[in-house]
Amino acid sequence: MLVEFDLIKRAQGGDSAAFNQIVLAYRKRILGTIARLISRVEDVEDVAQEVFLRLFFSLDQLRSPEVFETWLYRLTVNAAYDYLRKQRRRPESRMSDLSEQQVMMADAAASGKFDAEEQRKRRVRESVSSLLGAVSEEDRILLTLKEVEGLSLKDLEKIYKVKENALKVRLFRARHRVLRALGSTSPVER
Amino acid sequence: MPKDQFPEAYEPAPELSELFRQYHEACEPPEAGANFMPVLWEKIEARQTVFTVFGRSSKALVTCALAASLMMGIYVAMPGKHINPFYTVSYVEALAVDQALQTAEYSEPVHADSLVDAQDAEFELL
Repeated sequence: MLVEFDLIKRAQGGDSAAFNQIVLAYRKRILGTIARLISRVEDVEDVAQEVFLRLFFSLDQLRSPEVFETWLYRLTVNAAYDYLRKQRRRPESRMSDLSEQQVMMADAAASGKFDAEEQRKRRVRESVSSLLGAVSEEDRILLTLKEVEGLSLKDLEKIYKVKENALKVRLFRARHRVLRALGSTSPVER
Repeated sequence: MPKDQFPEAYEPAPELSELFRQYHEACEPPEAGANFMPVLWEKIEARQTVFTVFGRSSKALVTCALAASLMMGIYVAMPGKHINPFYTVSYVEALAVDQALQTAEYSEPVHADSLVDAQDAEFELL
């Protein structure tokens, strides 16, 4: 836990300063998780704010502070899922939809400013992003939490509120679909 | 059942694991902007306002509905106020009147043969 139980209790009681402290403590972690879940840098902050917004309005429903982190993860997963679903509804991409970072990277790549390492990272991000874009939002989030975030099955069990065996089956199927998508795309340059 | 139907028998593809590991490294957590907290509180306040307006509207609607129900209840309970001018008698009374009318109109057919038979019987008795 990054914060004391007492701080959560105070925030539950309507203490804005305590809520601020919770946000500051978890902000970096949540931003990182969302960045890996949605892989669109300029929207990461928006989704993170949505997570903390939901946290603010549902904090009084949290019965025991011990499960706070699992609960925050669940809020994060739900917010990312809602975002990805909205994105899927408007798949057409225009130049104006390109992220600032993508435009910046394209410019920099064109002018040769980025070094080889940065270019390799960019290619990995793009490859995984397009690979995960080929599967459903549910598969994408589950796989990212397990394989990229490194959460254990026990953690996922608490977040998804499903049995470990059911999770294993879902993970297996999700991996299978990603592997099929990987097979149909060109191999990633490493 | 094919082999790929058993999750336990499945070995994670090494190329996929490696790709995800590289992805984790490539996705560094972005730094929060300077406006993160102010924008967050603006959003919280905006949603609070929406909730407040919605809550007030809901309360006003519930109050109006209760008042309307109460008024209708009073109106229905008031004696003599809800009598329909076309139906001034109760159902039972109307049935009784109808029955009386039907009884008054009832008449048995007269048979000449039966009258003659009755007269013969009277003569025999005498």
